[in-house]
Amino acid sequence: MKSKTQKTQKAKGTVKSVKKGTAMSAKAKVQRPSPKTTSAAATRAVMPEDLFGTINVPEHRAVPFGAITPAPVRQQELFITSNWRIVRPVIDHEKCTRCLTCYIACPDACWSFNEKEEKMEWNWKFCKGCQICINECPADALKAVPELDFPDGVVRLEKPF
Amino acid sequence: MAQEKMLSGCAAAAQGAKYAEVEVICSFPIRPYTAIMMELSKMVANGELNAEFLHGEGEHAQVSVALGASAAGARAYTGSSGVGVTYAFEVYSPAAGGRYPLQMAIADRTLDPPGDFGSEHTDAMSARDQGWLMGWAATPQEVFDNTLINYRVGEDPRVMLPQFVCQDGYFLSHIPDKVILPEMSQVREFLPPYSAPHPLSPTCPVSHGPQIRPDQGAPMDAQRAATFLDVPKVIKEATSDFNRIFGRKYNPFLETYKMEDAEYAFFIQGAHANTCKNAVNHLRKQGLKVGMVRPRWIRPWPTVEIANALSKVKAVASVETSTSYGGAMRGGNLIHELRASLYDLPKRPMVTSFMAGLGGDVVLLEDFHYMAKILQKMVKDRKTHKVVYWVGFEEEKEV
Repeated sequence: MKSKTQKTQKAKGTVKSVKKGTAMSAKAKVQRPSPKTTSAAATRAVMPEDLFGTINVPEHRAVPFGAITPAPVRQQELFITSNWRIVRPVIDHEKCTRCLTCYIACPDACWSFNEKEEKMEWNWKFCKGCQICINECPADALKAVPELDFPDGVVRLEKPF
Repeated sequence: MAQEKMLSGCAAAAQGAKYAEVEVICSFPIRPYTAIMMELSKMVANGELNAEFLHGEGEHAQVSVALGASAAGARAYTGSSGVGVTYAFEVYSPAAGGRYPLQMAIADRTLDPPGDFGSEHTDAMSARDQGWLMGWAATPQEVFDNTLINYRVGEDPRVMLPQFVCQDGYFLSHIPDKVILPEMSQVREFLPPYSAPHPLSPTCPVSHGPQIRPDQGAPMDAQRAATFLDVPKVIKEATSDFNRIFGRKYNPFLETYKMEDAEYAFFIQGAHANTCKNAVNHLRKQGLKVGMVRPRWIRPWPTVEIANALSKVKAVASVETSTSYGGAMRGGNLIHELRASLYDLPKRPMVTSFMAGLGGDVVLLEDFHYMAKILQKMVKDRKTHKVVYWVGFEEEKEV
């Protein structure tokens, strides 16, 4: 059947005589390139233009354009980076001498001093569980506890954060 | 007044950058693209072009400098050839992912070893999936024009992507041809000044290139892929504007030559297409209805346009000017995507590939005659005997 249509096109000779939809799949009929497209090749379109459909990223999963974010910010809430933590440091406030060694040692600035309550505070959003603070603590106030031991432990979450 | 000059591909690229009023240029020498930077450095020294001209300590630094300049809101320009293109590889994906519309001119060259400096498309082709726009020119005029068109498409707010503007080393980069240099007013009408959406600036600080989480990687990939769905529309608009303002007749995606009644077709990119057109004329004198299709863009790949252009031919010869060792067709890169583009046609043409134009080899007129013979034999026997022919290294009985 297809060769038939080709023959009729040939017999008629001119590009104009190609009937709308001949030698086209049903899908192709819907999306035909406008006759304005220049080349002669385009006038005998047989492929639909919507081959690729659309890609829809839901708003709650969309990443900012080029992952460019406002700065300076105290904490980059858009990119929480602690989701591969296996253990977390747990502090014993009785043993802690507030010497701030952990504050200095943490490569990700996850320890800070809460002046109101006069105790150290741990930031779960960026701690990767590297345990440097535990190693450095002169008062032995920190210990590594597996994430599995916590109901909100990283490894327990179906989708981290 | 627009003026006509004899310019090589490299000089035409430099003129393109000058007319685009690039603001930051980063160079590092490697032939054959180096002539672009020679021209540009002269222009900057003479005061013809007001741009920062920096020397990178290597190609990785070159693209990094251009990336930084683009992040700060400048129109950035760089370039390379051969192993220089591959040395800068690490920066390609961040440049595209960070959406920096810098431009890199590539005058292609064979990759090492063993230090062959001839033209071959493998260097740039190996970077084709890094999220950049990419396409080959066939004449110095097209190099000049593509420089402007690529900036226009790449800097479009709907696109915001870096661009590889490729030309064949030597065949195009070092052979002068007539180039029409337009009026500056025309260029300004076509290409508005670059305005970065979130430039690095002390008055409005932003963070570029932060770490993202693994679960943010997939949506970011999808967003980048979605951008590429919009690019063809922008290319069409830009090309039609370009044709109107500069009085040219570019088809946005393909150059088709004598395809109206063609039964056989050559599919070829870059400057070898000029020889191919000659071959088409020769073969037509011998009574063979043959034509040529040359993609002007490789990324985005013009799938629909290629399928439509080749829907009526009996057989296609994909002339490969790059290598894909161990690939599906054991030859070049183009045939993979060419075959994939034709797969959904109601009546698929036969497709085979010819390895030619490698390592600086000229694709001769007689090579095209050889390819045409193979195509005819394929159609006569109704069989694709082989999917790849290494031109010059085949047994005689094949013809």
